[in-house]
Amino acid sequence: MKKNFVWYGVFFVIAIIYPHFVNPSWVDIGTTFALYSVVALSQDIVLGKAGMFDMGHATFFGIGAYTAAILNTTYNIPIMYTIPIAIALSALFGIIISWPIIHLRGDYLLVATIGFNIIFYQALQNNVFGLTGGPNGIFGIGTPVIFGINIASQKAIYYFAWFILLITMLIIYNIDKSKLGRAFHYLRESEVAAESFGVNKRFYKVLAFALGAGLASLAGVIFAVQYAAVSPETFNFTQSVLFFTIVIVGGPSSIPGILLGTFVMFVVPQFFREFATARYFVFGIAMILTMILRPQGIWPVRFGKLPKYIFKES
Amino acid sequence: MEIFLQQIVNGLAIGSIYALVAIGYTMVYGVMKLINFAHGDLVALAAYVGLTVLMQAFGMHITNLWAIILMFVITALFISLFGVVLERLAYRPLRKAPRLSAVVSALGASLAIENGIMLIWGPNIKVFPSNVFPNMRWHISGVVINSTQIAILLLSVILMLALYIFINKTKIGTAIRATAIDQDAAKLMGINVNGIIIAIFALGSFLGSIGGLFIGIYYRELYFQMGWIYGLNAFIAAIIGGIGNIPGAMLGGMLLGIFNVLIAGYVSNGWSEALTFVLLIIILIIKPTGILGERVAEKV
Amino acid sequence: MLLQLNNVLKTFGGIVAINNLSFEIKENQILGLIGPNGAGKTTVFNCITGIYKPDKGSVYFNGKDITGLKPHIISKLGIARTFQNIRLFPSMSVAENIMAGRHAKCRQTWFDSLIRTPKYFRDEKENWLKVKYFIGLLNLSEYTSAIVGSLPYGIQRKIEIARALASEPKLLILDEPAAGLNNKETQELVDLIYQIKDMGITILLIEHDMDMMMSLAEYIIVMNFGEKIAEGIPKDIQSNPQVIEAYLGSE
Repeated sequence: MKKNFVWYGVFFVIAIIYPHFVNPSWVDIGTTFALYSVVALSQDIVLGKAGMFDMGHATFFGIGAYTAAILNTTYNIPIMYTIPIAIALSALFGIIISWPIIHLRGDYLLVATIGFNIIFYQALQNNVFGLTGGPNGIFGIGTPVIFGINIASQKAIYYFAWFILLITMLIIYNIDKSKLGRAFHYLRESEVAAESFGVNKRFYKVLAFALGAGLASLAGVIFAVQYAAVSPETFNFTQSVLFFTIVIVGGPSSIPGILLGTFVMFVVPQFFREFATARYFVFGIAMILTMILRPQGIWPVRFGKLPKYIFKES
Repeated sequence: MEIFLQQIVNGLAIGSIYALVAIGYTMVYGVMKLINFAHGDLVALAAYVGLTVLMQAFGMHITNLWAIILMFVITALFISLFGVVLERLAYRPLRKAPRLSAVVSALGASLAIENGIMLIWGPNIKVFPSNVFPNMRWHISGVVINSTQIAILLLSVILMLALYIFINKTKIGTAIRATAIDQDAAKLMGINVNGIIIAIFALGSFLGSIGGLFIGIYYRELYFQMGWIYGLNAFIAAIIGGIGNIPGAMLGGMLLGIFNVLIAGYVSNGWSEALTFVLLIIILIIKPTGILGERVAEKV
Repeated sequence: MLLQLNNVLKTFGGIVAINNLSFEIKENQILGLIGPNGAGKTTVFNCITGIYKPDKGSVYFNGKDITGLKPHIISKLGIARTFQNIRLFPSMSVAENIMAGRHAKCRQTWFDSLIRTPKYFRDEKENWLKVKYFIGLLNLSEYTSAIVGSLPYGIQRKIEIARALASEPKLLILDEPAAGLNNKETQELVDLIYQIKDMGITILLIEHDMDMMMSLAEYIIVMNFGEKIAEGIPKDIQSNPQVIEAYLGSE
């Protein structure tokens, strides 16, 4: 346990000093890395912990971003107030979307989530209710103001994003070592067994979606702030595939795995921007090889950490 | 009314293409419970390869008919082989791995093939020559039917019938059906499961390649990302008809083709994909096993 | 009378799995269910625990009609079970697997879990200590943090029973608990079942090991082709001609 905390400590110290040593475009990448990690961790609740095939998670990321964008630009609501609204709205959508499809067989659930993503994307493109701005999206999104301080500079937004990541990691950590996290795991491994000792299938599965949706949407708000704009492309099916792949390649239900996954799937390609054409070809091959060599993910989750008092002589 | 009938005719042509592609998905899923995300990109690859062969043949002054035959034969052989190699490299090593790992491998293969197409043929749209199939038009009570549509529909039906006979009346076909129901039992009965899987990939890729060529001949515009859209639609068709069920894939393909065309005609194009998925989700909620019922190995 | 089945009928697409089955279990009784393979025994268990809903008839538990209720609700009413093919969580430790049995007894809400309220800490401690108690009860202390997937079959069987006991049930249903066990392990199992009876728990079990069944069960129900063909104390069952005929050829 203690060893892990040291690693996380090192990780965050590096993150803190990072923006002072790199040029602005790489600070941006650092911010997006943090936000994508939050989305991936939120997807992991549904996919990695609860074992439900969700390939439409960019939808919730987008709901957060667009909620902030619309409320802020059309209704002049300050960003900080859009956060709880975005989270609640996204969680609500998570419940509504998952409710009718929650007991579908794995691959059918997969295709249904893809479906909702595409419906969402086309709704954005078609400027539904005249609110979403069509293919060009929405511009001029403001910045959050906390206790009078305007989080407007690139570095400030960076730190804010990493703060959100820290909170997310704490939440995920809390879930793991609790009745909630255990229930998800039981459902993932054997629904029949889980029900036999009292796990309410529907409740926990829908809850997983709600939590995953809420967290993703939080990242969405900050993402909208980072680019001061939102457009439909960022929340289409290809993005969902990215988040899905991050979870499986990194290691389902593993926090370090998913952070690594985001690094490999998002940051590493940035190094090869010059090889723009061959980049994704190599990437596809790399995905195949990674799965063949490490089917459990780069950093698989490990169980067996028990509280000390279970060993002490009573 | 004529417009409606016209849509039906158009829909049937497109539907045949979906059906050919859907069969590839449904066979693989029925036996391996794997959504072969790379299948759609194989279909796209077929169109590009076909175009290249065709242009080469024309360049060598080969007569029209032989050029077309050459295009079909070479493309079909190449893509069938490609499908078998794909299975061997990207899926077989993951037979014992968690299911989602195979899915990611499939996604990787899809990405690689799609971008491979872009690297070889460039990012710009490529166009098939017009009238690859001799083009005649008939006007029947206000509906325009062109010979290309008839050719596609006819050839597809012949292929699907041949497949149906193969699956139901030959030894290999029966072995395929047995493997789809219970792989382990099939092994115990002496069926070479690896061989069956190779056969399925070869067959599915073969049909998909014909579908790809039809896309080139009918729609004429090729772009390297097109595999995704056809693939996704074909998979939806397979689910609608009943996954693992070959006649189901055929029926689903036809229905989806008609549905697509009607939506694009009566509603706007911008909602076409979304509404297709609404249809799918409704079917999944009401009758998840599809119209003709699914045929998958269930591990209870 | 703790559990009662009344005229239960269960079909699967035209095939009758259980036909007009009625029997009852008295409190703190050890009741055995025997019959050739395919007689419908596991189906009976599944109808009791809510995995299947009977087409006709009813199941009463503790005076309450539980017919067709969802499995997790029936579990919370006090019925626990083990499975014919062990359904443990192989990637988790023994303690974590037994903790699964405590799920219904854990009182933290998902919100408590999320933000670690004092209730969460109290709840965790209370339940992990209960897990420790059950580990000790089944002599599994040396395996507490071992990963289940790596343990021998006999130990895994014990863990599954420990998990069922951890939910503090009134009725424990065991589906072929001795399958795959050697003689020594089977004897340990018999002792364990007596121990469970002493705890006041009622036991319903399916078993093919006839020696074990005849010495352990206080009352036996015999099934064949989905129907009850005989019931009675072991002595009577052993000499029942219909039962002998159903088992012709098997020991």
